[in-house]
Amino acid sequence: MGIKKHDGIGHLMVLPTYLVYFLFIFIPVVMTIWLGFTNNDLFTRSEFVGLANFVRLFGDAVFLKALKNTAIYSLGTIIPQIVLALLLANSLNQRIPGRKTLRLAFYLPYVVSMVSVSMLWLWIYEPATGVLNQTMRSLGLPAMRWLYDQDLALASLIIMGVWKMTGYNMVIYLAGLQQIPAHLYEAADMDGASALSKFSRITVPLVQPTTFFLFVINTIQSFSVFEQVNIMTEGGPNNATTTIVHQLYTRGFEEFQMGYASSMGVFLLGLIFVLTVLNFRYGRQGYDLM
Amino acid sequence: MHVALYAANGVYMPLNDYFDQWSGFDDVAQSMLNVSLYEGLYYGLAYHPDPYVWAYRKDYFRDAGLDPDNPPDTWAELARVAPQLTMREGSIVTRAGYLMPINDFLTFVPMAVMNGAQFLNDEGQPTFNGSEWIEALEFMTDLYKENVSIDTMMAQEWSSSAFAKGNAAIAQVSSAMLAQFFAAYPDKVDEVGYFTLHKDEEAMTTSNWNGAWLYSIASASKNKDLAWSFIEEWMSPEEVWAAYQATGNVPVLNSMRDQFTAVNPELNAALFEGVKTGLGAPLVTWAPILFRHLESAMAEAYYGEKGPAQALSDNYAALLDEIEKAK
Repeated sequence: MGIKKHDGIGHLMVLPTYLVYFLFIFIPVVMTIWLGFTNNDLFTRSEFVGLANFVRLFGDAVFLKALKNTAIYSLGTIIPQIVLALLLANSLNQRIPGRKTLRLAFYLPYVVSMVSVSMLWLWIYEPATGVLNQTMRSLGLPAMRWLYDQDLALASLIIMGVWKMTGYNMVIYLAGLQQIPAHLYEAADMDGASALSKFSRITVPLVQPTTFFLFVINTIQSFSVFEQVNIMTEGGPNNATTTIVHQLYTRGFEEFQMGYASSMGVFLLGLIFVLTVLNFRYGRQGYDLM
Repeated sequence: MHVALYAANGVYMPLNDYFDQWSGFDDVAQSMLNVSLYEGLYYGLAYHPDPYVWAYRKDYFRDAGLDPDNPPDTWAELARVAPQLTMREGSIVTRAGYLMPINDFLTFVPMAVMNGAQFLNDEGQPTFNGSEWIEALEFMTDLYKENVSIDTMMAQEWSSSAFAKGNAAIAQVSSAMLAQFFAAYPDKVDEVGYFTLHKDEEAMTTSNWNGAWLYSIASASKNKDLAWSFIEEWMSPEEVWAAYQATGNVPVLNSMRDQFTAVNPELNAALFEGVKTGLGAPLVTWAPILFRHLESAMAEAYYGEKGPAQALSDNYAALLDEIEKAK
């Protein structure tokens, strides 16, 4: 009996997902690309202006600063939150007391809304009365201006970003770790391999598909950073923390330069697309155990 | 800030025809009528002003050995008392002598206006590269570098003002911020005083920020007359007073001055005067871009990236460029 290559019922069952994708992702993306080539002002004007918006991007000092900040933020968050997550997952994959509680504790920041987290960290970083400076004073260390120091503001956001996202990565890694056959570790034990050796020769290579997945997800998430910037620093001080999406929001929804803002969105879409393709091209090696 | 944009794009309809037949028109404070006056036509009616007033803490003045009944009258006096009122732990300010949010143009514009500046010249062009603005920013930058302000930003001030938390001795504060303070410290109501500031003994112009919420009618409305009836009803003295009693909303009707100030003579007189003398956003379609560049100039000057004159000049050039490109 032959097997039908395409099952109509199957397509019908995924139709709602296709529709949601088409209406709320595909069409907005196409519209954004189109708006990027117009001078749309959200009111009545929407004339085709060719590449003018994209040319303007590269002469816009604030946008270039935002691009640099976004890149630094992404570099500063993606690697640490993946490395920390793997180390945490590896530790919490062992039979240690309280591991469920610890897993929950590390995962908790991820499920709290970014607005709430931002308000919490505003309080932590507050120079005059914040918890962090109070702790530093009690340790005899000098208090810092954190979000108000041009040299520390972005680093402060990066620390918060790593804190928030590491738990999510850890849970994904835990799922990946539990797919690794136990006999590989048993064989390594019989050969007298050290814990470090087992981690570097068995664990790291075998979770590479998970690492690849997390790298893609974290890249998209970090390059789209917005809420914490808007709430905690408003892009300041002196544009020290403004990002591409923050500029997009400012120009599009505060100044109604929607055509120009859309060109920023298209630029970001292209940037993330290129990075994702590179991830697929160079980061997808490894052993898929699923 | 967006009235001109909405008006220029036909979103709001002009209300002049309704105003011509409305007996209450002459009773509305002129400053509140002006906030919707775009190219000779009124596109809204301000019902909820948000005047900023110059406020100070009398108890902090006493603590610093200053006369609590003698707030600063000039820029020089402000510069003299602010450091005395400031409290620090190391280099971190824990109580502002004078509150200066790093990106709050609402605190900058009144200083420039006191110095004779206007937002726009007769040709409708921005003016903030002028000497009046430069002098004002130089004064503020010098004060900022004296480290007299607690670290804060505009959005944080709106949500939870440092003055309302008791962390500032002198500040430009809105009626909402004062309400926050009075709610948190009901026993300190009499410890807050109000004053007007001038550049010096000769320049008697005072200034404060005053934004407003507006009633408008959409051009696309199918019930324009009904909408106007609603506005007219809600702008009646009875409803304006009821709104004040329910929400603390400062009345915009001149005829209510005495009734309003009788409730709290010192504060309400200051708020009412703030409505009268206050300045809001200029009625130009590029007002949001203008404010972004004012904020940028402030930050560049405060953080020493550029001198005040250079910061204003560079941002002025960038603003003109952006206005052109945004067309």
